Amino acid sequence: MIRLESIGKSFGRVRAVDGLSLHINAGEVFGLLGPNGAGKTTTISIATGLLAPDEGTARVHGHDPRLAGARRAIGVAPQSLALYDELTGRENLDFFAAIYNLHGSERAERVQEALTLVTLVDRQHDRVQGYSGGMKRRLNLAAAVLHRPAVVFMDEPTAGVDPHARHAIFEIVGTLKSRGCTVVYSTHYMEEAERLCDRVAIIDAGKVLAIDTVAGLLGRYGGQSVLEFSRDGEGGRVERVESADPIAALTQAAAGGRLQSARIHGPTLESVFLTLTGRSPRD
Amino acid sequence: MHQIWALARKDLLLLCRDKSGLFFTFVFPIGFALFFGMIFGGSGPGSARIAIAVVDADKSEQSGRFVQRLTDAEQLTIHTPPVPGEGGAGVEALEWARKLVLSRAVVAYVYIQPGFGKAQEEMFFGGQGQVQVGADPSKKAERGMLEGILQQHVYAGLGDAMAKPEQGRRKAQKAMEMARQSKDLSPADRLVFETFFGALDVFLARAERAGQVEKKAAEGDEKPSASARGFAFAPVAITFADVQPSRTGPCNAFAVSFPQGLVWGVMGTAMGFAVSFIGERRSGVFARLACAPMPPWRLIAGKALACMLTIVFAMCLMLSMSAALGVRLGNWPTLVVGGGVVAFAFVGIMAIISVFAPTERAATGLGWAVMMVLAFIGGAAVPTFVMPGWMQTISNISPMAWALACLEGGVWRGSTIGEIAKPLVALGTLGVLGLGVAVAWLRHVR
Ligand SMILES: Nc1ncnc2c1ncn2[C@@H]1O[C@H](COP(=O)(O)OP(=O)(O)O)[C@@H](O)[C@H]1O
Ligand SMILES: [Mg+2]
Repeated sequence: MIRLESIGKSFGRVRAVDGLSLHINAGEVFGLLGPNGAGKTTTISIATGLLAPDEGTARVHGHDPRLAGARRAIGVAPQSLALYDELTGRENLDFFAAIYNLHGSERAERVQEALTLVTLVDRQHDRVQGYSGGMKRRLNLAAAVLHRPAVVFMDEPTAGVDPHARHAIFEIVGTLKSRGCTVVYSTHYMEEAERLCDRVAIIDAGKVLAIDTVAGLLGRYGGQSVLEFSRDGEGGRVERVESADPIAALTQAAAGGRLQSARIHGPTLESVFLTLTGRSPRD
Repeated sequence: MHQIWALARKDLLLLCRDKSGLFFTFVFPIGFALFFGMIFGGSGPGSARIAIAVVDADKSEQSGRFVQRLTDAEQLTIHTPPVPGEGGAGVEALEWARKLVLSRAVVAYVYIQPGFGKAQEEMFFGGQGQVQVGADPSKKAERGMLEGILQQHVYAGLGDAMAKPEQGRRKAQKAMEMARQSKDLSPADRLVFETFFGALDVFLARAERAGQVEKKAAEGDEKPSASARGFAFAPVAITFADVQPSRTGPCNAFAVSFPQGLVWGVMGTAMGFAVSFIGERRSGVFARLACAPMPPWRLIAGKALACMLTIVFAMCLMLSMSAALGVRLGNWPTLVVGGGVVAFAFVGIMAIISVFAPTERAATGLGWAVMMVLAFIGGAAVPTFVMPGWMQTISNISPMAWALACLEGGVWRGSTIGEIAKPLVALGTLGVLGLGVAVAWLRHVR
């Protein structure tokens, strides 16, 4: 579906993308996970044909994404909102639909469909400047799917939204996936990638450090689980045990006395990132 | 085409939602034109002082007093010949006055013909001073007003008794009655008074009758016969000579200020669209549009179409407004072609600024700085003919000057399209270059 081969892109002396390769399959939700400045936006810009790579090739459906054939298959929800604040939600969608050569009743239908997908039917006639951050993000997504693209790129779609609105966006991703749409989801939130993505590429400093399913990444780089427990008669002291098999460790702990509390912390993508880079993704 | 129209429609919709944008596109240029038109013209509605040239070829005591009364009249601004001519120089002075009218420096000239004073002395015996008024025949309002003012001052010179014969008669009869009844007067003195006031009464009675005849004549169209007039109570005859100014001067101050206001308006509109394009570049909108199945030139074309439509609309608005203020639009084909090419050139300038300025702030700052300088040397702020010579030379290379040449050519210079060919070509080239460079840059960024 999408193939990026040894892509490189520099802005002056900044090497934004450095020999990056990705193969994304049709129908999957693919995560681009990395801290700010990792090169996610630049990668998406190249994959959508907005930027030409300095080195390497990008292909969508086998076409150069800068050509019209590939473009019709691509929908983009850019990181910086692609909306006109002074227009209403509906006027925005009407405009972008016209740009995608949708006219007449077909356009009206698609706009309605997109508004329904992002649950903004009630507010469609309000100006975007009056929308909350979450509503703007949702409208930004709606504008990306008007032409029913085969692949939708979402660049940090939850930037600056509250947990409730974030949940609404997760649902939209789920709906698109159920319709067979390929989703490329960039984020610096580990838990979002963990929760949404079939496969994740961990990116840092313009390079792909690892690509796998979430379970695969956790298994390979997540390290050991941590068991925390406390027992009767030990004055509430909490013990920590690292183990590859936390259930076995728990059984062992229970054998030593009556358990007062016990918690197992499985490996997270955060620990995967820590293993891969030697630093926390929040640094 | 659908895509270009969708882009343009979106921009027009955005403009309609943007109050300050609307202000700078439509209100500011009109305000500019009105303000400077009033300042330079001093002939805004309400402040009607008519400028006239007065040539006194009679040089008598009476004509001198007449000129003095005109000079004192508050409705008039008087210009007199620089060198008071003697004898034959009267012809030169008349030529001087005609030129002032031709150049529209004054509305009319007033030529007091030789014999004016003598005729006034003999007015009771049919003498009639001759005053010629030379004015643009199309300026009917000014002509009518001027005639009224002149009449008023002719009669003012004759005093109350003459101006209002009935009142004079009543006074004369009363004085005669008093003289008759007076016990103090000697019979000889009484005879003198009675004879004098009696004669005055008879004279005024004729004047009254003459006035009624004149009035009737004025209401009907027939001329009073010589006998009916008897004593013609029109001591000064005012005749009109048509002086048709050539089409080389602006017909009023608004004819000058409106093309200038237009240039400012066009500039403001171009800047507004450039800023909106930069806003799109900096927000995600550009990313989305650039990823759409659409070649980059259409992005520019949509913006250019919206900009062009707005400019043309603003032009139509301003031109109809200037027409309402009495500006006679000199040459329609020139105006249409010139206006179109000016709009196109500024669309090109807009395109260049919109792709090269890194931020909206940079665009507004830089754009206005450059445009202000160009505008000043180009004559959009100060008319070029008041500039020092070296500055006029520089102003020839400013797009503002070309734009002004086209617009003024259509508004008041009455230029043909051939006469403004040079600025037309220069502006057209600028427009093509601007759009071309902008499209090339967008391609390159890809
Ligand atoms: N247009 C640009 N000009 C200069 N530097 C850029 C530009 N875009 C991105 N960069 C730099 O490239 C690096 C990667 O940026 P980006 O792809 O936006 O990262 P991410 O989206 O993962 O936060 C950053 O160091 C950023 O500063
Ligand atoms: Mg980014």
